[in-house]
Amino acid sequence: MYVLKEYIESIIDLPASLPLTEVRAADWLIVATVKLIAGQQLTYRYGLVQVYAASINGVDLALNDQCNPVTIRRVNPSYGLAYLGIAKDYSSADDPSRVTWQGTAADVITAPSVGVYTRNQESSELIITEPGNYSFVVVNNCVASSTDSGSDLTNVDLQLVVTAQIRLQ
Amino acid sequence: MNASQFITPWSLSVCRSISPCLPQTDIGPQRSLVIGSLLLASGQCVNLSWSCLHLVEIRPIDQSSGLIQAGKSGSTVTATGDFFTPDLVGSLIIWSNGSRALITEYSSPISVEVSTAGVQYAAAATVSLSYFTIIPASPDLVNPVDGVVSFGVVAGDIDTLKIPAGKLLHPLSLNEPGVVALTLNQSRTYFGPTSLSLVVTNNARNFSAQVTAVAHLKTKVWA
Repeated sequence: MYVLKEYIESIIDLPASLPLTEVRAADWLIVATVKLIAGQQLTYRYGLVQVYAASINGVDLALNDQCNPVTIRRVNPSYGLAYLGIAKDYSSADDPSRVTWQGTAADVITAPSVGVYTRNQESSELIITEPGNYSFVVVNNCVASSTDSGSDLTNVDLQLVVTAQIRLQ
Repeated sequence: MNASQFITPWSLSVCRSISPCLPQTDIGPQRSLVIGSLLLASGQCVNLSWSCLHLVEIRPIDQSSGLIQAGKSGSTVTATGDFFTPDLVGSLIIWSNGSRALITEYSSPISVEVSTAGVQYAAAATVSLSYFTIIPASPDLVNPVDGVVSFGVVAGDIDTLKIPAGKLLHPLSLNEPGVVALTLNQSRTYFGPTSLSLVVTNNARNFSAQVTAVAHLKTKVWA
């Protein structure tokens, strides 16, 4: 088999990258959006989320709290402190806790504590062919609360980095 | 099928992919943001094969009355100096005491007609002279042709402090929240020597815009 110019030129590799950014408790950011039209295919294989630091009112959490997320109250208990997923036709008014993320559980990168977390490379690629607007959304899953939440920590802000890549063809 | 259709190691080595990505970012009124730049030498060209612009949200920017005050009598608001313009129709006027009214008709630079029907914290029939703020209803565009936000290429030097930022080549534009993309059959090629910048522009005077943008360029030698 040979690689033709026409084939190479039909392949577009796109980044979904977020430089070090503070995302407030219970807030989220759209990292990148890709519009998929009929006949196109989106392939997602590699993604990484780094939780660089966790803080409350600008003060970093104690080390044992950073590494022990059980003490931090989360909006969605199914995920860690932060997570990255792909949503279809996402708008700023959508609450991430109610979004159905594309693919399977393997396609949502969850960060249980401070550290670096990647999508499992051994998982099969996520291939999307249905036309629509697909957005990479990174979510700070920590609860924002103005009332006393007991012993659990709330209002935890996270400094996040996202690096992901998709192929459009 | 002829040999020119095959990829050779040389042709692959001179072809570079560059993909600037702008995550969700707030761009202020009449501001431009350069998300990527490249320099093309003589004999080089770049193909913008794909780009996508997502306008996530637009937010009005409050306009303060400054030293001017206004009072309300019935449905007429009169200011102490020139302030009102016809494009303020539909905007909300908020006095310093928090009471509000909706501007329904422009009469003159110092007078407008207002309504309080359905307005939260509605102003009383009479409001004495006081300072106020205007919350605009719709974007006031610098260039109505360009939409609220635009994403395109600027060739040559760019002054990011001015709006419009040069003249965007083949821009994607949006007037309201949504997504627009350049498709494969709409790709554009630019030839060196020149500098190219990928720019996202907020064309509104009175709204900020939250946008994300991604693009894909491929450089290669053409001569």
